[in-house]
Amino acid sequence: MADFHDIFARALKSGDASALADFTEGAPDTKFKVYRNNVVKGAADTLGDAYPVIKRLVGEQFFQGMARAYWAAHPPSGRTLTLYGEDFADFIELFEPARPLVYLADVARIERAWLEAHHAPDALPLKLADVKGLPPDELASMAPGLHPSVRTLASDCPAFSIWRTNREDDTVRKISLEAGGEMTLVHRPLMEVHYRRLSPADALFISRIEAGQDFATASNAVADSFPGVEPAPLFIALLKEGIFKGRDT
Amino acid sequence: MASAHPVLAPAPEMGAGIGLKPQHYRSVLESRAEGLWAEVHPENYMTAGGPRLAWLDAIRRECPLSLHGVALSLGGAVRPDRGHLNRLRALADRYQPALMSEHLAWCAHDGTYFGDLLPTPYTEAQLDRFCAHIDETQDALGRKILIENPSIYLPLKSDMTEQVFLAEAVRRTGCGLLLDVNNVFVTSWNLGQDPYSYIDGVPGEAVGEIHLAGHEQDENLGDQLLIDTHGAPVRDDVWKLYDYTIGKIGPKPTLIERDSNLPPFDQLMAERGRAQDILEAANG
Repeated sequence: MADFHDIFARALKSGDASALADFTEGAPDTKFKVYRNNVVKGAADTLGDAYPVIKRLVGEQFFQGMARAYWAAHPPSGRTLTLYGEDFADFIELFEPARPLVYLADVARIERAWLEAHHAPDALPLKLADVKGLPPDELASMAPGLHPSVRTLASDCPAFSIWRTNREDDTVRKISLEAGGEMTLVHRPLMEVHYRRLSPADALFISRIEAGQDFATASNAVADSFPGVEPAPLFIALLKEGIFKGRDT
Repeated sequence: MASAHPVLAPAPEMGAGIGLKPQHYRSVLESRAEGLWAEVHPENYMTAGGPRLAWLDAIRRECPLSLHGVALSLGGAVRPDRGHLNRLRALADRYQPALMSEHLAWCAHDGTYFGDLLPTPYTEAQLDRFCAHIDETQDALGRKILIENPSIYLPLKSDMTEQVFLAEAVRRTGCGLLLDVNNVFVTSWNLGQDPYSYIDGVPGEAVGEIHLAGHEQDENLGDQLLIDTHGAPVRDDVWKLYDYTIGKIGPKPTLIERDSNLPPFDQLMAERGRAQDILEAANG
């Protein structure tokens, strides 16, 4: 009977149920379509829930077509659809009909980061109280790494502004592509996902901590690359936001 | 092997429950309804962390919980996925559910997860394999599970009826049954059979839980084919069949399943109240 599963699975992928006739009472076509539709629509709806801004930007019909094409190329392999769509942004980037929307793939990357942060491991971030009163040397040599939910993204487009207005506003704000590139921070210090636009100096500091460097080295890197930026307030702001990994986690 | 695991005993306080959706987390936590319990798909909680798990921790402290799996593929061609079984076990250890269940169906094959409950032919060879998969699952979880009857759209050539197939699985593995009364109605309708004689053929003592849900007509075939959409209120015909079922096998924990077109919490609870009333009446 392994044959039966092989044939049924192949029919689900191709949409052609004729080979199933040996196993069915009566012609399989119209009734088989119920299963095929459940499978494909289920995956597309899951993507729609995970990428609501992409759906809003391209409209329901275009999204369904793109999601179904993604399913055909990347059917789910894990036993849960919660994090299905890992390659969706890369797929969008190469999806011919979406080519004119140059920002679409980067906006999808932000939606993916939101989803990953939402389901990331629970961990306490490093708090201001944890480092208050530490001798300066000890603080300078701390290299805590990032909280496991932190995601940073860089785009050549104003991807963050496009994403945010489509996520938050009933009537979207007008955003000029001339505005240039933006960097994005998405993370979940406790139970709620936070997001904001990152400055290049913030991004540099975060990348150094991610690489395992200590606070002093990261601060010096910021001071060297951005002579106008004070590293200390930048550090305090990131600390208060819960970007760094807590001590006991 | 069948007797190695503790017998399933639903928590005595379980009356009518609801399928739990994130939109209703807070309302369920604040509800004080008599007999209320909650059911989730464990697959939606197989994440590293995050608010879903925290909400479920809180809800579990207030009411009994059922883990109703959809991805084990017990009716599949190959053995249950080891990693998936381990994740199920971890959730069961964390949440200590009153009930755990899966389906007479398959959903994965050769590396692809289809995310739907697909039909299996009711043959001897398929029965042997299905029972082996249940044994392996019950061993991995260290407890008995309930098996749910599916909604059938495409009739497959078979050696036996669905009731016989399920009764035989119960006898061989010691598993229990999750009797989905809506699925009985939908399958019977689609195959031109009598749903009441289906109920008559179910071993009532093995039933540990009942499901109720809404169905709709197929977009193309109309009333020739009913679809178990979980997107509408329970139909009157299904309420009638439920009444008959409770009269026949006695009161069992009953779940209102709703997965799409989610109504406001009060509306869902009103539907759930109807099942609760029937259960209380049967309890005398």
